[in-house]
Amino acid sequence: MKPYCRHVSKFVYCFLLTMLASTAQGKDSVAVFLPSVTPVSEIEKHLSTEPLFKGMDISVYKKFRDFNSAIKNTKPLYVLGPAKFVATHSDYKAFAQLAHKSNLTFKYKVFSIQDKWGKAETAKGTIGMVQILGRKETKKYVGESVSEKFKKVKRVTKVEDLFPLLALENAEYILVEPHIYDALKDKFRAKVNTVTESQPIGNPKLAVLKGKTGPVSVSLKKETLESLGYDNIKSIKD
Amino acid sequence: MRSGFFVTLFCLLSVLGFHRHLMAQVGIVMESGPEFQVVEKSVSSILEDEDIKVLRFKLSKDAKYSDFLKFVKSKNPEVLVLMDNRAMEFGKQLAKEKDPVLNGIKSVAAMGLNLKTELKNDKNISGVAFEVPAYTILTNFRSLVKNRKLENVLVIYRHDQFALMVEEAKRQLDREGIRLIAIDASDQPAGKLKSFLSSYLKPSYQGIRLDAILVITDSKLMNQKTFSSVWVSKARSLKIPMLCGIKKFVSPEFNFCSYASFPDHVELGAQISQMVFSLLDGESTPEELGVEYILSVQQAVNEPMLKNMNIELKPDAKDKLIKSP
Repeated sequence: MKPYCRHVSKFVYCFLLTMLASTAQGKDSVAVFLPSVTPVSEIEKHLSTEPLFKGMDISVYKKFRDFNSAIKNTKPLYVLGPAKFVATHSDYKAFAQLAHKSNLTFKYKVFSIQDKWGKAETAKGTIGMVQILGRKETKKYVGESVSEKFKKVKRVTKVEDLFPLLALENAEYILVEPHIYDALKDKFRAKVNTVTESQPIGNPKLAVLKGKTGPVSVSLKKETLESLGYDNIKSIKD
Repeated sequence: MRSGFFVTLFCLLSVLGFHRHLMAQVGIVMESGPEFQVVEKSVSSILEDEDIKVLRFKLSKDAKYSDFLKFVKSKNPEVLVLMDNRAMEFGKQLAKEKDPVLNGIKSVAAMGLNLKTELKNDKNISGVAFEVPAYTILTNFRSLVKNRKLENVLVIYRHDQFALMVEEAKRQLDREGIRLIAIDASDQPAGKLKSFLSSYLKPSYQGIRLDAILVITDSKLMNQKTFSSVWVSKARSLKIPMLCGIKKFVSPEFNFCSYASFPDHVELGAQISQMVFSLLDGESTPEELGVEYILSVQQAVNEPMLKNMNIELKPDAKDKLIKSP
């Protein structure tokens, strides 16, 4: 028996709460995680106006750890997250992908702040990135994405901590998505060196829980896309 | 049939026992207090998510090195997380033990004061400095306000304690176009400290107009005699924001600093965990890891003080601030 149901006199209250709880459990949900400088509340506000997510519980996560445990524990109907994350979750099937200037891919930029950390020195240096995958997958992901080898990979939880990681010399290099760098560079004035760039990386994908059906066509409002850092969303054909 | 069942059971138990034996063990040695608990919880949840066994040892008020040693000997941790200076001192003593198992235990120290200097040449203990770096405080403040440039910032410090931090801060801030004017107060006798501080806490330094004053929390410079009569008094009378790394200093009760960046304890736990993984994986030695600067911070402002100085916040600033304590 639920703790709030211990007293018979509270039967009606308990009944209503149980009903509410079961309703909430039955509600579809969407979990969103994209490294971004846009406040979570703003993204949630825009997503809540989208017909695609009408009537759903919308949770936007700032940190990968929270997003990952939500996926494990609550199995939301829709997931919007980094392409690699979606690809490694066999429970989900991608049906749409975000686009920027008609591109479905981007290239990470690798920056250093000290001139001595150039392209030839990467194997001796540590590279930092925003956490979008688990600990073990991250190093592999960097290895697959960038042809240069690095001694170590450090992860930061928040986008805002990426540039300080470099400036405080906790890492010699950082791996940054171009649109994140554009958003961050207003805050920092230090000159950075572009060391190299990655292979093309898929933009974030929207996926549906396997066994459930995604919508036939996908669209998001311009303001929503902008809050996510993109300008279009395209369906993925089977 | 029955013997088959017992063989299977035996194998299963052996495998489970073996697995337990293989599980890495990390010891967390900590002081009491809510902040320590938040960091401990954060570290534990991250490590336990990766099947690492976390062993906790809370230091009582009168805990001695022998109690700590007993804990280490009985639990055999591969890596220790040492929270606060007392735990760090125990860790340093551990490295002097003759037993190679004990003196070889690697550690990550955190939440202690001045770890950059305390652990400068330590081979067994890496760490995360608890003081929010000048770089973080100043660049964060600059990005929050819209009508105040930040080019010349004064800091009063003790060279014998904070030389390394100030030297690194100058270099890091120089890249940002911020000049840190550092005044050494090491040689000031206690009796002359008040007048020394007062002579520098002014709107300008050698004809250079100051844009802010960075406050280093140092009990020698900020003592009973100087705190109210000099620091707080100057903070309220000068039209220059004092920026600090302690949350309560921006509270209306103190009315001291106009802005503070202070540690995000949950994320500090993540930073510590990352160093622990690096040691467990054999990716780096404590010496190679060294003492990192704390990365994640939270921010608060004293709005009336800023208003009094005609400093305005950018429209999106409120999203980045937590409510004043």
